[in-house]
Amino acid sequence: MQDTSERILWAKHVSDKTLTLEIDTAIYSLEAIFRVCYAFTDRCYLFLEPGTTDTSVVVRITEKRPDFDLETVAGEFSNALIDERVRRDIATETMSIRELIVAQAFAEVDIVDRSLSESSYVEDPKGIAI
Amino acid sequence: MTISLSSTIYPRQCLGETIAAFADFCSVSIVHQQNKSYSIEIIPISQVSNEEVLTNEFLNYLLAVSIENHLINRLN
Repeated sequence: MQDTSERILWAKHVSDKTLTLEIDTAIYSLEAIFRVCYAFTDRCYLFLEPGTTDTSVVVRITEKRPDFDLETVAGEFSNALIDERVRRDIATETMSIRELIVAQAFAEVDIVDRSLSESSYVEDPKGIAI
Repeated sequence: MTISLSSTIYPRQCLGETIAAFADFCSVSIVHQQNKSYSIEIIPISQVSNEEVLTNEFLNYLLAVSIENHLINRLN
């Protein structure tokens, strides 16, 4: 079995049952932290408190069961934060196209201008032919 | 047991909802209040054997309610 003792270097051990992670909200938004915490409440006890700076939050993770591996959960929690951050970024990047698709799906008329893309090659409205 | 809570993270209305949910297990009072934080005291009722577990379960429930509140407010 792999040794997990102090494998998560950014975690701070408070006791045998509890460790803390200080998270910069400039990197991971408070919303991302909330979503990840919500997903982990069935596995461990979580407590949030303001961090040492104005832009940080401390997440206190406490074991729920004796066979609980704190380090593993802290690592998975950290990875989940990255997942959530990437998910948020992609959602922001693709927001306009998703809104357009939904708008088109519910619109009674075609809101996309297809006059050029679906024109006859004989008419050649873009003047592609030489 | 007295616990200090950030009112930004744990809104007061969410505390009320959690206190109601845990009414059979403990009584909770606000012992101190500041601009951005407040402190609560959790007093278990006599039948509760493990005070630490009760406190952790209370705080987990409060966190879940608070997160739901934050995310709903964001959508509105």
